[in-house]
Amino acid sequence: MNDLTDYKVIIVGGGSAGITVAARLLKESRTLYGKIAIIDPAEKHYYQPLWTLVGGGVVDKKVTEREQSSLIPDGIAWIKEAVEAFFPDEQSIVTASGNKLSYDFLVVAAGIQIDWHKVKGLKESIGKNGVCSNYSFDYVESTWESIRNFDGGNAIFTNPNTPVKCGGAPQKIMYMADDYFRKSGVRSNSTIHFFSGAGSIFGVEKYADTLNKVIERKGIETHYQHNLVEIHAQQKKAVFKSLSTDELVTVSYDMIHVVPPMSSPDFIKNSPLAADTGWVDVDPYTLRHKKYGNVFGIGDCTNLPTSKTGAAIRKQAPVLVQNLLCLMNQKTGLQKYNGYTSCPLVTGYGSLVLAEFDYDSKPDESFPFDQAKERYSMYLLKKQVLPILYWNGMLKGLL
Amino acid sequence: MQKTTIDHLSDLQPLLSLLSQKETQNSLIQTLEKLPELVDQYSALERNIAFIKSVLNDKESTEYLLGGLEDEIGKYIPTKDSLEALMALVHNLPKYTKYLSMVEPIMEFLLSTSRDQESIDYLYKGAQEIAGPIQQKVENGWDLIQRAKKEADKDHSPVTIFTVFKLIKEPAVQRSIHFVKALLTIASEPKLK
Ligand SMILES: Cc1cc2nc3c(=O)[nH]c(=O)nc-3n(C[C@H](O)[C@H](O)[C@H](O)COP(=O)(O)OP(=O)(O)OC[C@H]3O[C@@H](n4cnc5c(N)ncnc54)[C@H](O)[C@@H]3O)c2cc1C
Repeated sequence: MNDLTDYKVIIVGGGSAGITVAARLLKESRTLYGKIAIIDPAEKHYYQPLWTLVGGGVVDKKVTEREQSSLIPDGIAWIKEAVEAFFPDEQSIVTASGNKLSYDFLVVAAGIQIDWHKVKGLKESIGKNGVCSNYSFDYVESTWESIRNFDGGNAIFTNPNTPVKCGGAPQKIMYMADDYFRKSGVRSNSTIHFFSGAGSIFGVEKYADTLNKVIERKGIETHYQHNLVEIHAQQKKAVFKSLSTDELVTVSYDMIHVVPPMSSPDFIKNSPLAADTGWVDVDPYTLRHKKYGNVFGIGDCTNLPTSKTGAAIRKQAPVLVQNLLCLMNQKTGLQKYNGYTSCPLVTGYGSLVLAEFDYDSKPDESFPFDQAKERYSMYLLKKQVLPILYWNGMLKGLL
Repeated sequence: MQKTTIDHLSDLQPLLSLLSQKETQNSLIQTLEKLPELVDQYSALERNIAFIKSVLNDKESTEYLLGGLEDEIGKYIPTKDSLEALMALVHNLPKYTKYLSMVEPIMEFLLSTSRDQESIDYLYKGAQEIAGPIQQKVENGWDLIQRAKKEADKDHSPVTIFTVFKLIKEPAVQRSIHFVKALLTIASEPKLK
């Protein structure tokens, strides 16, 4: 199957979105058996939403990692290479080794690129001496180490002004840290700072109200419109730039949790598929490329104007698959995605606000009670239930 | 009085005309195709480890899984080998197909979870942690989770994992969560006893 150079459907990226789409395509149309390829060089697949709880010391990072080979659905060819260039006019892609593959339909699901290099001194310091991040499997344990070893002083949590995956994750770990510092008795001799490139704590008013109360209750100092630009690891100092005045502010830290800037993967940015912003340019409702009708985009790499989450992908995938099959079989009945996304905002060990909303930032909630409240039940949902639904439901194309 | 062949044929006429309908034929084919698969899935489950067996023995979840289907079949399945009953069965095939396609993803989800040792271990560990706090409280005096639970209790919302998931509005999630609930119940049983 892997020797073919021509596939009915090529899926670029086998992350949350790529595997879900592949599994769903096969479920909906058995005739596609052997005619779909996933191209992805990564041997491992990660359930990233649990990294917040790994950083908080609650979950072992091993449970978030699985062999990619165990997740590629039967009947799908896995080409273990990185895609380097798209040629949508001739319906082909080229991989890093120069392999050229053609398709009838293309699904781009390559995720988001983490730009560690855009913060001076970060690449050299990450994972050591109190500089940590939940945004990588390699460094996530350094977060728990930093929190556990913190014995007072300045704890800084950052959030860049670029789009990030899971917009709530930068603050979730801060709330857990506050909770832990109280438990370990160091909270009274420490200050927690939240430096964010955004202008407010959260984009949806209903949840922002709750989160502002959480921040007040926890005594966290917020600094909005401030972007991390440099880390001086030796002196344990972080430099922020005010987005309104361009002024530089230097703050010393005893621990700093960094959420690095992110952008569309370079190979997409430099391709004809990209919008001006660099993301795959798709119709927000049909997920079909605005210029190339046989190309679809899904997940973190697209310019869908919603928060980039796995939960959003769960709702995008069935729409994409239906629409792709409609086109393939020349049928009518295109479906529409409403921008649904969800962010389980952990507010401490054992409490969570389950934010769910759509393109209009209107709450689009799954439970018949006020989800803006902090709840233990929702924490359990995130910790115990969602991972199982992910591995056995979503990635199998069932839920 | 014995019926003649002609009588039989005329009795059969409505059935034959039903069978000649495309929709009925498609449903029949689909149902027949799906049946062995479903039976296989049941037996695979039964062959599975004791943990999963107990889920199937769990009355509530089996009822949940088969409840809708049984209700419908109960109404129509031929109790005696009469033509009327057979006709009714055929007539309602499109309905059965609908139920089968509803049951299928859940069966697959459950089967997938049951074969997924990593998920089972994770669920088991989680259930132990959930069941743990009371014991820990006695041992340690102070417990974080216990405190969080108390806080959550204040808002009078359903605080157990099980009752809350029942309330999820989306049917697909609701169906699958029911299984997870059952798995968790079973997994935490030794601890609770
Ligand atoms: C700390 C953290 C917390 C989060 N919390 C939540 C949460 O609570 N809830 C939630 O819903 N979401 C959460 N998310 C976000 C969620 O994990 C992502 O939105 C989701 O995984 C995106 O899926 P994707 O398929 O678009 O990208 P990914 O899952 O990242 O997959 C992209 C794939 O593309 C491959 N790829 C990259 N470049 C190439 C190339 N050149 N050629 C071929 N393949 C390539 C990669 O190897 C990868 O396998 C969180 C993320 C993080 C990091």
